[in-house]
Amino acid sequence: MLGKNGHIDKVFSEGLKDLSVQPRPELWNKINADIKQGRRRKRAAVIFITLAAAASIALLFTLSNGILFQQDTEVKGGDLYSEMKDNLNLKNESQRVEPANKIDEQFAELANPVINKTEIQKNLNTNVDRDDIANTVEKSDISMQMVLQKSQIHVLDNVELNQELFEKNLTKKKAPLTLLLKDSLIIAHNIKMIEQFDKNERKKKEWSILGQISSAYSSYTGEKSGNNSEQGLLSIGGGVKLNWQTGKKLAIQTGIIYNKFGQQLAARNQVFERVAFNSGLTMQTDAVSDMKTSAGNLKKRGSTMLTDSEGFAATSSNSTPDMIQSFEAIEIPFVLSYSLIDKKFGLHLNGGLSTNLMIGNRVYNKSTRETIGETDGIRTTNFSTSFSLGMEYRLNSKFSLSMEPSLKYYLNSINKDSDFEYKPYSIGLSSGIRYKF
Amino acid sequence: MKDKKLEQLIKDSIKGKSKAQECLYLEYSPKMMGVCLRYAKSYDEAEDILHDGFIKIFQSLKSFRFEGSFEGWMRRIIVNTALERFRSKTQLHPVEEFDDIEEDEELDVKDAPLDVLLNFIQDLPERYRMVFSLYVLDGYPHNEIAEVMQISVGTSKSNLARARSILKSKLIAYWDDQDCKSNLRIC
Repeated sequence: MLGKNGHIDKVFSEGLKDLSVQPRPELWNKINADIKQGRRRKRAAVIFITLAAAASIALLFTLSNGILFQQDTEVKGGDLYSEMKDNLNLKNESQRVEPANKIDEQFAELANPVINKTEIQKNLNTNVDRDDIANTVEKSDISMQMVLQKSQIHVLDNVELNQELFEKNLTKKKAPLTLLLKDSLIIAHNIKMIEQFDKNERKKKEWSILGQISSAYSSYTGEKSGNNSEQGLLSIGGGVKLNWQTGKKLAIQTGIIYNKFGQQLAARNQVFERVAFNSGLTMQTDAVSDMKTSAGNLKKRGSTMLTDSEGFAATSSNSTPDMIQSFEAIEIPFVLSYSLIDKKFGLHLNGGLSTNLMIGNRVYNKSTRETIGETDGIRTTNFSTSFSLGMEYRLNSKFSLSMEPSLKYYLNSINKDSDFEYKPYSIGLSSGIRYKF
Repeated sequence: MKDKKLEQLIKDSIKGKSKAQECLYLEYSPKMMGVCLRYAKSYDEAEDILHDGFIKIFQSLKSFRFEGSFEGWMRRIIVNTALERFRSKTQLHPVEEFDDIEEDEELDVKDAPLDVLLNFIQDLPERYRMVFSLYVLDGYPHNEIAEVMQISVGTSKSNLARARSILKSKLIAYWDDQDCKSNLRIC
């Protein structure tokens, strides 16, 4: 092995530089477990930061919206308005997403028509791999011994190694040809499995259906009309979305979603008191203008326009001036979804356009729910844009839980009359479940 | 392993795919274990280094730029892990330098089995073992050894000389012993 008169360094470097020793099989399980543990901690931190950021943005948005809204409802010489009680109670839903327990690739589920399934499982099972290697070593015992003899490799008892593994693996660089070949075959096979698995996974993920319920706070941008006080509305909606995964990152969504939006209306104290006074003394009220809101003129059922006094007289029986001006729509969205993280915990950026078909237009008493009338001149078809951040937690290969803070904004004024510039927007939080076909 | 396959395996490992990580581990762990054994006192300690080293490898795979040898990159991380371990458990020692540094002394060498060589290295005092392995087996220059081990260049040189001296005497003793045994057999 060595020439005479070599340096001491040469003895060791030639012998030990390419030393190759198989570690104990259970070491990989420990490394794998520790990697997953680390990943779990990291993921929990990411989830926490994302949720904290989302909550902060939502809170900031709500607060700034509240301030803007207050400004909108203020009328110059505002001593005429009563101080409205803040009915807005935007709930901050929080959902703790458990970090992923483990990302198991479920290779056993591979239905590969090309590669023999038994063989796949055999080769993907680590223990079997190692047994296989050991078997190969045993089978090639004779050739191995010849190699060992040729290389004059001895194994002494005083080295604290796993005896069997040491005997089989402590070899010089040219010795374990059979082992290396076998290793290469197994690795090549495993790579093939991974590729096949990815293809199958992608196919599996192509279509999914997502059921969601949402709670949203709606308000509007545009010019304020009328002299009554207006406040945003908190409402519940929901629907079903169909998701088509076009590529690894991109998906298209469409579906049918029901949502409700609008505003709360309240009259000036003076008007309300005057109507109450008139009712009590059975006196005729003064002629007042049509009741105007930012969304449009309110009209009574039966088509006559509602006046301010009539509107609030209808609500005076319960000693509360509040009315709800609500609109209900069926939304047909067309959304592009871009996946930022696609693991046990998924994160998607969604944005798109929607067609909104108006199915409800109603003004009712907030306390009694009694219908007073409706808003005049509302378009039946409106268009909106939306943006949302989808967060998903994969329960298994079929089901995922989802949570989605979203922002929706109407691109057009929902009233046909050019006197009104009413573009609703809503901030919502949807939660639901996704089923993959 | 073919470059493209290796690249794919690395990319999948970065994504966190367990099977790809396992493939990488199965491919490279024997060689890396060989490196660990040269820096450790025992097999168990070598496995500890291998464990910590592979966790670091998977955590820092993103930083591998697919330039140069992947095995060399892994080897560097494993050596660094062994060094960190050495630094964490080694107290500061007073500088010890020896004047009797013997360099390039030639030796009438014979064969020696790998496990005997490994055993000799593992039996060296820790600092000598680290310096010898870094210099002789992994090709670190003295100034780099001084930096990573937080010692002076002089100390690195003297530690190497001491390690060589110990190993040489052990080897000579071993060869003498072998010669005696073979003579007895002939008789």
